[in-house]
Amino acid sequence: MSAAPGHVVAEPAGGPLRASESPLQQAWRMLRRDRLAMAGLAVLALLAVAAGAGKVLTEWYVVFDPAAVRLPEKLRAPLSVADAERVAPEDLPALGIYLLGTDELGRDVFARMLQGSFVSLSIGFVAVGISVAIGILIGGLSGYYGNVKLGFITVDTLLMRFTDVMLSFPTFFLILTVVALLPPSIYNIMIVIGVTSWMGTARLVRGEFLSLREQDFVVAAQALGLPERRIIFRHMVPNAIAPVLVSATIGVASAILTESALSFLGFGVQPPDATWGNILADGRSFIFDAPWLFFVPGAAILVVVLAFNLLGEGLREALNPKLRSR
Amino acid sequence: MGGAAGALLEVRDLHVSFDTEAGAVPAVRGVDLRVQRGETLAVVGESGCGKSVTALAILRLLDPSGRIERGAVRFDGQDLLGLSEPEMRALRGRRIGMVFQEPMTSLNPVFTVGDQIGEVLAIHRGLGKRERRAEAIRLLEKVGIPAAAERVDQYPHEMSGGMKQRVMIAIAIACEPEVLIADEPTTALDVTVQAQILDLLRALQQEMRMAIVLITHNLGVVAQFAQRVLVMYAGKIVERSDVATLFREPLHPYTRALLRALPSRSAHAERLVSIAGTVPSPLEYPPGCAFCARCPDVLPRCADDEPRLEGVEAGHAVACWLHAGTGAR
Amino acid sequence: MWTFVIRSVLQRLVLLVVISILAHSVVHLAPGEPSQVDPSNPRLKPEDIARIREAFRLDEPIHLQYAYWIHDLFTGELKSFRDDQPVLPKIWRRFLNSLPLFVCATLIVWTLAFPTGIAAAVRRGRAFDRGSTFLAYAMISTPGFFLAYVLILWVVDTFNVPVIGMRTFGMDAGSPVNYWMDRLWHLVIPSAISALGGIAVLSRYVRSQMLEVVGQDYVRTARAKGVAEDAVIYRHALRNALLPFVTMFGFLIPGLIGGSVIFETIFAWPGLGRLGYDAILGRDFPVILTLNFIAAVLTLAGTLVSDVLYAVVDPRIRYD
Repeated sequence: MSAAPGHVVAEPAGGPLRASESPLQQAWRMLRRDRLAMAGLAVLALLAVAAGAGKVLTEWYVVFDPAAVRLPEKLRAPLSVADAERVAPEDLPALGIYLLGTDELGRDVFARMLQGSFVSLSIGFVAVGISVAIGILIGGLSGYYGNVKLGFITVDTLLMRFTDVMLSFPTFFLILTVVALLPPSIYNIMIVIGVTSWMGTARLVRGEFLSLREQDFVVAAQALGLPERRIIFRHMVPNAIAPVLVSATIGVASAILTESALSFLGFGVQPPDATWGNILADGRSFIFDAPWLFFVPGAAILVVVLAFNLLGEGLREALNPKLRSR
Repeated sequence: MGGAAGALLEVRDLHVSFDTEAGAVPAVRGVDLRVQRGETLAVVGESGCGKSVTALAILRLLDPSGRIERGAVRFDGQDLLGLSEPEMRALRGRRIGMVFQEPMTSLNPVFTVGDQIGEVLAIHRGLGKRERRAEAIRLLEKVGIPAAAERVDQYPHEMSGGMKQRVMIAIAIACEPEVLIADEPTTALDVTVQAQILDLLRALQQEMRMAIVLITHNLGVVAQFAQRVLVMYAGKIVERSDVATLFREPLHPYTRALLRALPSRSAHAERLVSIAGTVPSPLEYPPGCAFCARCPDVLPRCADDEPRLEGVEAGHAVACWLHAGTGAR
Repeated sequence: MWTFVIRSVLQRLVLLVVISILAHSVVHLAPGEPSQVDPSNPRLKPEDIARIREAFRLDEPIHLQYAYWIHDLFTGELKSFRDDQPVLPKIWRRFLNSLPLFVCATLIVWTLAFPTGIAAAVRRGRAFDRGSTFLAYAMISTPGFFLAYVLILWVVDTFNVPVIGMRTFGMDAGSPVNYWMDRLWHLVIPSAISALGGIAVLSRYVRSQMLEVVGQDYVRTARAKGVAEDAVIYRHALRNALLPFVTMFGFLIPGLIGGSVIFETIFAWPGLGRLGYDAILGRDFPVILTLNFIAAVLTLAGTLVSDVLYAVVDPRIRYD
């Protein structure tokens, strides 16, 4: 056992220096050091607030009415003051100002963005929830019961071949086909995105399970005769969760992008539900007359997706002790 | 100090530190060593004591995060730290060869061993394609690989660990270097193979009259192989001696502990040296002797006052307050 | 080697049958009986259902349905609902249109992503690395069509060239030079814009792969041999870092269909993706199903190509 240079560096960065820290605390300390990831986290915290506010203020206590149509006030620029003479009093925007302007029907873009933040975010989270659940199931089966034979082929080979095919299949076209055939509904979109994006997670979980299966605490649990369900869910899943968390974070980002692409093609969430994707897609017709209709949702998606991606990358580095030492 | 004016390789007051998230971490803190032509110097110590870093620093092969803070490395009269990178490259593999600890990962998996030996021959000896192949076969034979003419076209993954280490040695000696730095050359190998590799190194050394710097944690290897020994602890040299003296009369408590931990010859499995306590973290080196927390003979002054390496008799020096001032310089 | 290839092909054929059955079953996603048509689904009207039932012979038992679909597909009896053209030749023509766009975009992606990723890895943590990293993330995080629109505006504005469609109307009459320049502009701009996302993603992969490899022991060995730094990076490290990308080469093939929907729509490019989009809009089931089926075939071909390539470049993989 000699000291490769990596060794010398790894020790202060890893355990011995601060032995009292749990791995989670350590990861958090690492993450806090990553300015980009922290910026991402801040943006997402803000977004969470916006999404919550969006749900509350546009649906339950309507302060910002995303559905109010004010034809006389169409395509007003951001920050313009509402004209109280041309608009019915109950349709006046909060504070009398169109913060982000109005669209071609005179709807308040700010209100629609607020409402859309909740919808877009929930599409991202539900889709990723579905994809993570499938990914853990398939990857876990493959990693834990991989050696079990089904006739001439092992469970692992079968599932991983299937995963490979799904992984290289032109997913977007598949999504498009399915979404186009099903009745248009926000739930169908969530499900379809989820069902077509679990492959990365499955591979990760399989890899983790394969290495965990050989480790002492799992072998010990097996030797103790613990039921397999318990071994898998109490001992292995928590240990495999770090990489899954990373890919889920990035998955939310790509689900939001997929929804916006579907919206662009006209198969996204249908009106009157607003998502950032369909606001953006509708806004492209007004790119010269009312650029805010295009650039506001575009920038919002860019910032939020970037935030998810940066946070995901930061988490990856913080949770991966091997990368840490470099 | 031994009065060798014309040392082939000489390291003076070498300080190396690594940049980490916790700041600069010292790994080597003032190491001196000299190697004469044809001799074998062993550097011994536990994992993390800075012996491999010292070796890498001599060849200027530290990771980008590693930095030579201070000190000098002289080889045959040249200051290696002052050389340009091309000048340094001309030395590496030609006049100073190096063998690493992990034969499994030290060879490039996508090239045949013949290509990898040939590369050195092309760079430093300017051999053509056909000559390289012939020379590679000759070198493989020289390091004791049977059926060398066939092996030369094999990939590393087709070979055993011992065989790969022989290939590594073939690469290192291809240009008949004056110094061979062997960083734990046998640690990753089976015990029986270890002995063969050491025998090979010894035979090559006698034939080619090269100096060897042998880095190891295994005093058993040192006893068989080296003439002089440096014992390192926490980035410093704590004892320097010739082999016979060291085994007969170890002075530093750390060296004694190492010797006690040495398995008897009959032990079939090699045990790693085990000494109570752990090496202090490089960020928390005490102001005094770094070994004081584990030392059985610790004195009151050890924690605050750092002992210097002082000669106690000819060719034997130790950095320990127990022996301070006992010898004539 | 040949046994390896033959076995891989056989494996794929089995999978292909499975996938073609799956692809066929997509048609059953459409409501089976006219009475089941969901009135809330404006996309399927009763007469559509009737057409589907006839074209796919949904009144036959299910195993015969499948046999008919394969039979009709290859005999040309399966015709597009739109123009009554046989499906396969129709797709082939569009494929020829997509090909130049795809090849051009792929070339741009690969020629730019590799140098960028390698340079970023070699300069890890320095300005170039951080800049390219951030730029890559920004590109990955932008909705593709948003970026494309912004860039189109900029290109049209700056260079004053038309970029929509495969050519400008009326250009055929001009000199051949003008004509080909026009075609070239129409090809390069869409390729470049659709390549951006790919460059961002691929250069990240290249970077992390290089970082992984640069830290390996054999790279240090190469340095200890006195190998020059460029040779260390490009000969020793890159050769190893490239291995996984050979696999990706095969996986590119199916991108011919899926990757192009958005950009062919934006640029009004009459290619495969556009065909699929129009088919979906027009509920042209024969075309939709066949495209999905072809996508599956291409996918399998892709995995086959990458397996074989991998075996060729990585000496550690055995053929047997």
